[in-house]
Amino acid sequence: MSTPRERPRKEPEETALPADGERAELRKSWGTPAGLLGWLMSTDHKVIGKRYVVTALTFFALGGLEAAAMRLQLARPENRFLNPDLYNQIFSMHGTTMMFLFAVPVMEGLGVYFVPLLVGTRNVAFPKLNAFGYWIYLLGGLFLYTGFAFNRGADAGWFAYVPLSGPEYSPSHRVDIWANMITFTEVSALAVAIELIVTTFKQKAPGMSINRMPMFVWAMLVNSFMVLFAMPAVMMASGYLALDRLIGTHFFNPAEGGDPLLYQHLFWFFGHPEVYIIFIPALGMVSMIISAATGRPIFGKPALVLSLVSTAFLGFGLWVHHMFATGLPQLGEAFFTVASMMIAIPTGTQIFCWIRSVWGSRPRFHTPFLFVIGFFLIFLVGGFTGVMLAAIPFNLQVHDTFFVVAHFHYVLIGGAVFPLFGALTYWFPKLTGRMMSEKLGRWTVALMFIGFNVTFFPMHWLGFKGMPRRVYTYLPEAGWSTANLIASLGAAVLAVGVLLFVINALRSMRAGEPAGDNPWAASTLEWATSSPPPPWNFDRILVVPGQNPLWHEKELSHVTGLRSDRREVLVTRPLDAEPDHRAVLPGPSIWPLFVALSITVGLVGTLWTPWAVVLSGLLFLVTMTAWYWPKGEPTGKHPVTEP
Amino acid sequence: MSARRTIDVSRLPDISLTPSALFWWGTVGLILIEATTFVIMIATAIYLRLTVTDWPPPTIPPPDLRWGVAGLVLILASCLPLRAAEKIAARGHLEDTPRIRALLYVTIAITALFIAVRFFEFPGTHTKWNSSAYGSIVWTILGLHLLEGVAGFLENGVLAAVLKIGPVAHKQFLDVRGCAIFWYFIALGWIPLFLIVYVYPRLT
Amino acid sequence: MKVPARAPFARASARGATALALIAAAGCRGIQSALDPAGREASRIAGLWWFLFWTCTAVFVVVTAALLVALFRRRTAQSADPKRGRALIVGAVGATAAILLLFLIVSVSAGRAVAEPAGPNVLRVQVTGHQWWWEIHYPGTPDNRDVVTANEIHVPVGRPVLLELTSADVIHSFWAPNFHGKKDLIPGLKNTHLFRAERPGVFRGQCAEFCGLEHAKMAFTIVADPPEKFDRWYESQLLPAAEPATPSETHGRDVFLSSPCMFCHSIKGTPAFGMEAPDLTHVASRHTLAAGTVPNNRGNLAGWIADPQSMKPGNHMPPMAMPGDDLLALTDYLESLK
Repeated sequence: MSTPRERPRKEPEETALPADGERAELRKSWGTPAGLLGWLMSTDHKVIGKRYVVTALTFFALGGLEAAAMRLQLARPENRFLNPDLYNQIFSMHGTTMMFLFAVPVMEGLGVYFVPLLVGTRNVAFPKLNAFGYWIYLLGGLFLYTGFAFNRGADAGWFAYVPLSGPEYSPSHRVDIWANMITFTEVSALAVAIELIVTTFKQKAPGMSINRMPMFVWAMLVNSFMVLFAMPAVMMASGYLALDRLIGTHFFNPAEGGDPLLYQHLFWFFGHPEVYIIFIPALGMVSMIISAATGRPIFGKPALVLSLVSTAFLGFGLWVHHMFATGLPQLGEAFFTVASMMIAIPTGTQIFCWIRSVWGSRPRFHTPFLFVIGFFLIFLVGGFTGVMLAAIPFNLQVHDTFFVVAHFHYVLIGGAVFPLFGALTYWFPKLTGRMMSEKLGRWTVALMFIGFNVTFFPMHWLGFKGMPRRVYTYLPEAGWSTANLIASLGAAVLAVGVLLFVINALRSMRAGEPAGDNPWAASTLEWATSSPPPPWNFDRILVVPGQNPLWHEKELSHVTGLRSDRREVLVTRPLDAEPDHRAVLPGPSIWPLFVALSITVGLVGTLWTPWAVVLSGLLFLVTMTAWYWPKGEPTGKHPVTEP
Repeated sequence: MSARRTIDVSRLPDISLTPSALFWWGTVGLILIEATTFVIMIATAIYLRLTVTDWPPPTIPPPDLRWGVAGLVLILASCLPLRAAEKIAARGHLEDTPRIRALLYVTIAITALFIAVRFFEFPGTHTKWNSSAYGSIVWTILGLHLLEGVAGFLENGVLAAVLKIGPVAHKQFLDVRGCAIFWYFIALGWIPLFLIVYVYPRLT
Repeated sequence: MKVPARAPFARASARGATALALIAAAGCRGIQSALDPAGREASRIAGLWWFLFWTCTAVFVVVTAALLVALFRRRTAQSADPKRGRALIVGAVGATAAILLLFLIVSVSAGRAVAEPAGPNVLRVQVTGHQWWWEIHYPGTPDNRDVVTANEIHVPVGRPVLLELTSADVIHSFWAPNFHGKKDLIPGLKNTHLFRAERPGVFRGQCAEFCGLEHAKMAFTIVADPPEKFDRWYESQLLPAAEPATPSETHGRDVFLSSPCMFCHSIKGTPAFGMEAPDLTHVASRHTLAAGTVPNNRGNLAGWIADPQSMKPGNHMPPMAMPGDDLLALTDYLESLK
C-alpha cells in the first residue's frame, strides 16, 4: 500500500472517462426534470439525502432555540420568563424535535447520501420509497410545529407517559398531534432502513465483499436493522395511546384491566435502542474521519464491526434500566444491570481500537479530527455516567434528575453531535464541491467544546443537589441558582459555536476553496468521483480490490456493459459482491409526494374523526396505484428465472 | 492503463425473478417490520393477561371458534392458488400472463370471503374494544390484521388489473412474487395471532 | 496502557481531583441533597457513588493520557507492529471487564443493603400522589388512631419507615434525596419504599416524575425527630381541630363552612369532609403551603386563599372571592389550627 498522504490529487481527466456521448446519455437518463415539478419529483438519493440533512438541521436549530428558552427560564430562580404551560410544551418539543426530527433523520440523511456512494452504486435500491420517506418525515415535522404554532405543542414530554398523556389528563389535541407525528417519522425511518439494507447487501461494487465495507456503511447497516426492530415498538405504543385517546380502548387504563407500565415497556423497548440508532452512525463517522486523518487503515476493523453488532444486540436488552424506579421485581432488575454494564465492553473496545489507530500516526489536526477529539473526551464522561446509572441503588438517586440530563447530553451531543459536525465538515466538500473554512472550524470546535462542558457539567451536581428534570422553576433557597446560571451562560457559548458552524457552512458553500475529488486523500469510494457527484454518481462502476480502494497502488479497474440509456444499476451478491444481474431503477415521480399527502390526510384528520382513516385509505389506494402502475418506462427483458 | 482488467456485465440478465431481486429483498424487509408489530401485539396480549386474574374478564365467553376457524382456513387456502401463480411467474414466460391472472382472481375471491368472515369474527368476540383491555387487544389484533388483509387484497387486485390492462413486462411477474410472499406472511402470521385470540382465552 | 507519561500525570490529576472533590463535598450539603445523607439508605448509596466516581476518574485519566500520547507520539517502528496493539487492546478490554465486574459486585451488594427487610418495628405511612400535592396517611390500626395530613411526613429517628406509595391520578415519583432514591407512585399499583432516618432535621423532597403543569411545585417536607418528639407530634395530630378561641376565628370557621372550601378540604371536628384536597385539621402545624411552594405564614396563607393561581398557576384550587374581613377571619381561623 502506498502512503496515501503523498499521493498526488487525482485530476478528473485522469479517471477513465467514458466517451462524451455516453456522458450525455447518462445525464439524460439520470437527470431530473427542471422546474418546481421536477424538484418535487426527484428520486436522486443525493438530492433526497441533502434534503434530509438540511431539514434535520433546521429542526436542530428549532430544538436549540427551545433549549435556549429553557436555559433562559432556569437561569435564575422563580423566573417568570415562561409560564409552566409554555415551559412544558417547550421541553416536550425540545426532546421530541431532537430525537425524532433531528438526530435520527440527520443520520439517515447522511446514510441516504453516502451509502450508495460508499458502496459504489448509482442510487438506492428503492428511489421512490426514498422520496416518500423524506416527504412523510417533512410532513410529520410540519404537522408537529403547526400544532405548536397554534398552542398545541406536545406537553407530556417526549416520552408521553400514560396516564398523564391519556384522555383524562391531556384532553386537548396536543398529545394527539404528538402521537400521530410519531407514526410519520417512524414510517420514514423504516423506509430508509429497508433501502439502506437492500442497497448495502445488493448493490456493492464488484469486489466489495462484506468484509471490505467501509465502517460508515457497517454502521448504517447495523443502524437500519435496529430501526427495523425498534421503531415498530414505538409505533405500537403511540398507536395504542392514540386508540385509548380517540376511540376509548383501555390498554393503559388500570380500572379496566390495562396497565400504565405496559406503555413504558413498549416505549423504552424502542427508546433505548433509539439512543444507539443515533449513536452507531456517529461511531461509523468517527472511524472514517480517523482513518482519513491518520492516513492509514483503521485498526482492528473486525473488532470494531463486532462491537457495533454486539452493541445493537445488547441495546435491545436494557430498556428496563429506564424503569428501575417503577418497582419491578429485583431479580429481573439485576439482569438489566448486567446488560447495561456489558455495553461498556464493546464501547471500550472501540475506544481502544481508535486510540491504537491514532497511535504514532502523527494525525492531521483538521477540523473533522478536532471534533473527533472532542467526541472522545465528552463521550468518555457520558459513558462513565452511563455505567454508573446501571447500578440500581445509584440510579434510584439520580434517575429523572439533572444528573441524567447531563449524562445523556454527554452521550448524545458528545457521542453523536460532535462526530456529526465532524462528518458534515469532512463530507462538506463532497456535498458542495468546496471546503469549509479551517479557521472558523477550529473556533467552532473550541466554542462548542467549552460551551458544552460549561452547560452540562454543572448539571451532574444539580442532580445530586435534588433538582429533578422537567421543572419550570425552582426556589431561591434550593441552592441551585449559581449552577443553573453557569449552565445558561455555557449554553450561550455553545449556541455561538453552532451559529459559527452555520455561518461557516453558508459562506463556504459559495466562497470556499474548491475541493477537488479527494481533498482529504481518503480511501473510500465517495472520493472517487467529482465533488459534488453527477446524478449518476460514477461514470464507471469501479471494481474494489481491497479494504481501502483509493489507497491501492494500481489504477482501479471498472465495470463495462452497464447501459447508460436507462437507469441501470449492477446488482451483486450480498456477501462476496460478485455481479449477479442488472436492474433498472425507476426515474422521477410525483406519486411518492401524493402518497405521503394521502397518509397525512388520515393522520391529521383523526384529530377530528376516526373516519378520516377511511378517506385516507381511499386516497392512499388511488395514489399508490398511480405510483405503481406501469407507464411504459424501460424495464428489463432478459430475466433470471426459476425453472 | 490499457492492461486494466474490466468486468463486462452486458451479458448479465437485466431483471431477476428470483430471490436475488431487489424487490424481493425489500418485501422481506417489509415483512420483518410487520412481523415485529405482530410480535408486539402478542407480547401486549400476554402482558395484559398476566396483570389480571381472568382472561377473558368474567361473564365474557371466549371468542366463537366457528368464524375464527373459518377465517383461518380461508386465509390459508388463499395461499394455494397464489403459490401456483408465483411458480408460473418465476418461469418468466410472458405468454403465461392469462394463467397467472386467473389464479390471482381465485386468490382474490378467497381473500374476499376471508374479509367477509372477519366481519363476523368481531361480534363473535362477545366484547367490544372499549369495554376492557381484553376487548381492546382482541379487537386491535383482529383489526390490524384485517387492515393487512385488505392491503394484500387490494395489492393483488391492482396487480391483476395491471395484468389485464397492461402493458405487462417481466417486472410485473416479479411483482407477483413480491405480493405473494407478502401475502404468505399475512396468512401464516395469522396462525400465532389466531392462537392468541382464540386459544389463549381458553387456557384455564 | 503502559505509557511513560502516565505516573506523574496521574499524580497531578489525583491532587487536582482531590481538591475538586473537597470543594464538591462542601457544596453537597443541604436539606435536599443525595450527598448529605441523613438516612441509612442514602449513606450507602453515597458511598457507592464515591466509589464509582473515583474509579471512573482514574480510568478517565488513564484513557485520556493514552489518547494524548497516541496523538502526539512520534512515529516509531514499535508503533507499527499490529500484534503489539492487539495485545494491548485485549488487555484494556480485559481491564474494562474486570472493572465492570467489580462495579457489578459493589452495586449488587449496595442494592441488597438498601433492600433489607423492614422488621416488625416498622412505621407504615401511606403516600398518595395527587396533581400536585401529597396525601399522607398514617394507618393507626387496630385502634383507629389514623393520622391524615398533607405534604409533610414526620418520622422517628432510628425506626424504619415503610412508605406505601400509590397515585390518585397520574404517575408521580417520591424522592427525598437525603434518605433514599426515588420510587414511583403509579395508579392501580402499590409500591413500597423503605428508609431509616439516622439524624434529626427538617428535609425537603419533591416529585421526580413529570406529572403535568405544576410538577415543579410538588414538594414535601420530611421532619425527622427523636422518637419522643415524634410521639408528641403524633398525639397532637390525632386530636380534632382546635375550637375557635376568638370572635374572628369563629367568624372564620363560619366563612369556611359556608364557602365551597368544605367541598374539597376536610377539618376533623367540623362538617367539612372534602377529600379532593389536603386535610386542614392541623394545617397551621405544617412548614409549607401548597406542597412546598411557599413557607407557611400568615401573609402567604391569606395570599394563597385569595389568589392561589398566581402562586401556583393551574393548580386545582379556584380563587376565592370574598370580602376582606372574611378573608382575614378565615386566615385567623386556619392559623389557629395547630
